[in-house]
Amino acid sequence: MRMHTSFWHIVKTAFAMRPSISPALITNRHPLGRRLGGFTTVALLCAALTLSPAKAEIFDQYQVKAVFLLNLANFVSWPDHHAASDIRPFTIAVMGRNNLAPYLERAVADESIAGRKVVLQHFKLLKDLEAQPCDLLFVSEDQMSIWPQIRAIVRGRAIMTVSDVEGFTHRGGMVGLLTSGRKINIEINRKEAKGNGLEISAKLLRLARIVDSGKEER
Amino acid sequence: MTAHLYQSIQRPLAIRRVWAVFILLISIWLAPAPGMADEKLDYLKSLKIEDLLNTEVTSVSKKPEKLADAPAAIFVITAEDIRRTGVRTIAEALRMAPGIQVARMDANKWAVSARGFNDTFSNKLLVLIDGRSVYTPLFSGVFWDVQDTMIEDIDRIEVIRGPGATLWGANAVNGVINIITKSAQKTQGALVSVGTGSHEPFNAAVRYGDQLGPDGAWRLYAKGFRRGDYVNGDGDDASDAWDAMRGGFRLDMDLNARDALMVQGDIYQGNEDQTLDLPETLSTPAAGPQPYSADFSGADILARWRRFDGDKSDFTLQFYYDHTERRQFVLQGIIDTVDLDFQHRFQLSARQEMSWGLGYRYTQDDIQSGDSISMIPDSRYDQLFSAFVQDEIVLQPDKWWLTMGSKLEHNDYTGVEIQPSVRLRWKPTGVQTAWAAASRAVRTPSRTDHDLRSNRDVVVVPGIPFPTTYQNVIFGDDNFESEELLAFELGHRWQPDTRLSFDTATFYNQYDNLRTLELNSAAAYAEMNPTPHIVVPYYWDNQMEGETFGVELVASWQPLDFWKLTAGYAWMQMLLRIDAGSQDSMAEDQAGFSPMNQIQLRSALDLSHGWSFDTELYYVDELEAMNVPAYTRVDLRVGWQPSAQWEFSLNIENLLDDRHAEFGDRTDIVASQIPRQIYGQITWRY
Repeated sequence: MRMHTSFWHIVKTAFAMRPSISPALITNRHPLGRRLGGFTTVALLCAALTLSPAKAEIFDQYQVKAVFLLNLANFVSWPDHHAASDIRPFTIAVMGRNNLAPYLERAVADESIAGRKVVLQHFKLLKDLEAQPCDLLFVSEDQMSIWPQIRAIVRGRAIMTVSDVEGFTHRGGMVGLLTSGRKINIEINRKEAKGNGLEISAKLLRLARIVDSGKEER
Repeated sequence: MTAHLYQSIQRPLAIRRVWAVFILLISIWLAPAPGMADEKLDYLKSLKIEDLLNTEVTSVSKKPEKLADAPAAIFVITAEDIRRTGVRTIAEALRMAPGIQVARMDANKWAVSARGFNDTFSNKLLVLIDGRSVYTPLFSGVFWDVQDTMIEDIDRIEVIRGPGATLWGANAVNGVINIITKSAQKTQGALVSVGTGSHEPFNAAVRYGDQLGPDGAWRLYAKGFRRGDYVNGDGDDASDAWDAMRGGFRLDMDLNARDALMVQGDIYQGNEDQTLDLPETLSTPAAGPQPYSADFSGADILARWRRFDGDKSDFTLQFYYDHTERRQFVLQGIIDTVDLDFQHRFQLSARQEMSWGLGYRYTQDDIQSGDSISMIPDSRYDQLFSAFVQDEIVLQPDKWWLTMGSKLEHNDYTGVEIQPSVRLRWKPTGVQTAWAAASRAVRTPSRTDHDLRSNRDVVVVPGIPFPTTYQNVIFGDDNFESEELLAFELGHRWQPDTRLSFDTATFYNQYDNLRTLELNSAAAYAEMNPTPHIVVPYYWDNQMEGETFGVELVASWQPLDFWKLTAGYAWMQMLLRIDAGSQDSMAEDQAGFSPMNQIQLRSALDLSHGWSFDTELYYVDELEAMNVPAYTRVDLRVGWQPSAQWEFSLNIENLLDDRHAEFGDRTDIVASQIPRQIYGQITWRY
């Protein structure tokens, strides 16, 4: 109730500004300007009231991508996860600077995948990637210039590569999280994943656009 | 009197109305308290994967900038900024960079500069498109009408205020603008965009991209537009309409784990109208402002090879060829440029990263002399050799860095030029960076400075037995020296929260050897053609010095996931002094060609169901020496993306007034006024 009062008060104030200054002078000189200004305010109001995000939630794309990344592990089977290395925590590594990391940090807290604790690692250099184990690797946009080298280091290891850079799967990346319009789309390079011994569940494949060895299937 | 009264009332009202709208928006979205971040996280985690992919997301968040730690005043205009504001030219996009002066002179001309010295032919700014320098050696400035590409394919525009001469070389005096297009891998599939508006009858662009083998990609694009007349001071059509067509390609390929190759090319042509108020010549009397048409065409091709050797080293070898042609009433010319550039970066030790490079540029031109302007000689070729070395030293890990380097150039006009810089960066906490820099940069002579002949006013003095005809003529000077800058900068960046950031930069620039025009009556001589007259020569000279200083602030705040606000303020002061011996009465006026205060306020808002609403407000102070009053410009864009394929948008530009001037008449070109415009566009992607 109180919200309504203040709301109308502001609307009135916005409109009340017009007559407070000698209206004739301005109206005469710029009739179109006046009309457009009023029109815009009204249009704004209408748009705001009908499309208020309070009715339908809108999320930060990076938060959705972070949650998706965590979810992704449930739809992939790693070849070495039956071995003794299972004691090792499930590791999500991030290379480079991106908006996902802060969300990811919060998302992985106290999470576990198939009984293994999930940890987040930040890799600064290629040699970090060479030396340390990880299961999921998120490649930031600023690392794409060295992507061929990242790919070479990952080759043959059971690491799923993920990025939100457009064209990632076309360059031999495995999973692309792309914002198109106002939705997140998934692109999967199945062949590349298979080559590294990773199996992706049919359910996830159905939701994704398949990009294999450079040619789209769907 | 009425006009003055009107302005003084109109401005505060305009600002107040915009504020009212902002307050309104704030109240609407802050009233229903937004869910806490962690509530949202729990909610998203609870969703099934298919529902997660169906949530509506916003793209207003700030993209992380690679350059956020750079010890320089850098601002990045992202592809998202360009899409959301609906700008259709590169020059208009630059308005978003605080501290850059963008003044639209008419429908097809812009005056763009950083930190002062703005002019139609601003000559202290370096502009690069994917590493290809686009300033013309004719006057060291940029023909903004031909600097274009598929707007949707621009990845980002990096705007560096202040000298970047150590890395980029001569003419990077007041700033560097780096336009970077997306790699071909990022532009897969088809895109068709069609638009029309009140002053833009037709605007269309098509692009298609596909894979090339397993590790490569290509794209092709074509675009064309027709932009209509703006208005003159009386409100009539200004005769400055233009049209252009352009096409191009880009190919990106990972050859192996170490090598990547990029090749791209463009071809374009166009026509434009302009209004010129030319002085009387010996054969034709002055006719007052008259419409003239001009046409331009060009082509360019660029290849770049990059090799990465792990974390330790990488190098780039780049080649480009650029051909431009321009035919306008006062000047017709062809310019060809070949450029070869090599850069190598390597880790010298655990604490030192070295970069060095070598460059070679060959420029050839052929200028056809007109009645009023000619170049002596008509044709000329020039070579430019350059080398640079830069060392970034970690003084204290994660705290203090020192960058030192210098560029060494040899050009055919002034010989060797040395342009060093020292930059210090300090990161006291994880969210704060402070930096300081001192640099020297030069603006080397252009063809205009060296070889121009421009016939100006004709004066007839009555006498007995015959009247005597005098013609004032501006001549380039073989002894014209480089304009010099010593720049001192201080900057600070602070991001107290992921949703809030501040960027402050201050500068103190000391210029010397600035260009003046000096009368040399002793060198007057008689010419017989076309009619007998006495030439009164004026020569370009370097008899001015000066200082500029100022502050630039940018604040960015994302109060909600789907709403971002950006505010910018730039204040600067220019002080110019001609030397005691100088007779140039106009040179100091340049100080009044750049606004003292500039404010911008931008709002990017995503609504549900694919709707978005963007607002930009720009306040630009008066240009004192040009009699151009201050103006406030408000642009709005409503966008709707019902699906990944379709996007519809409606722009209203310059909402608050019917028309306003942004720049005055210069070099015989009559400036137009910028009208209110409405523009609609449909984009289809697949």
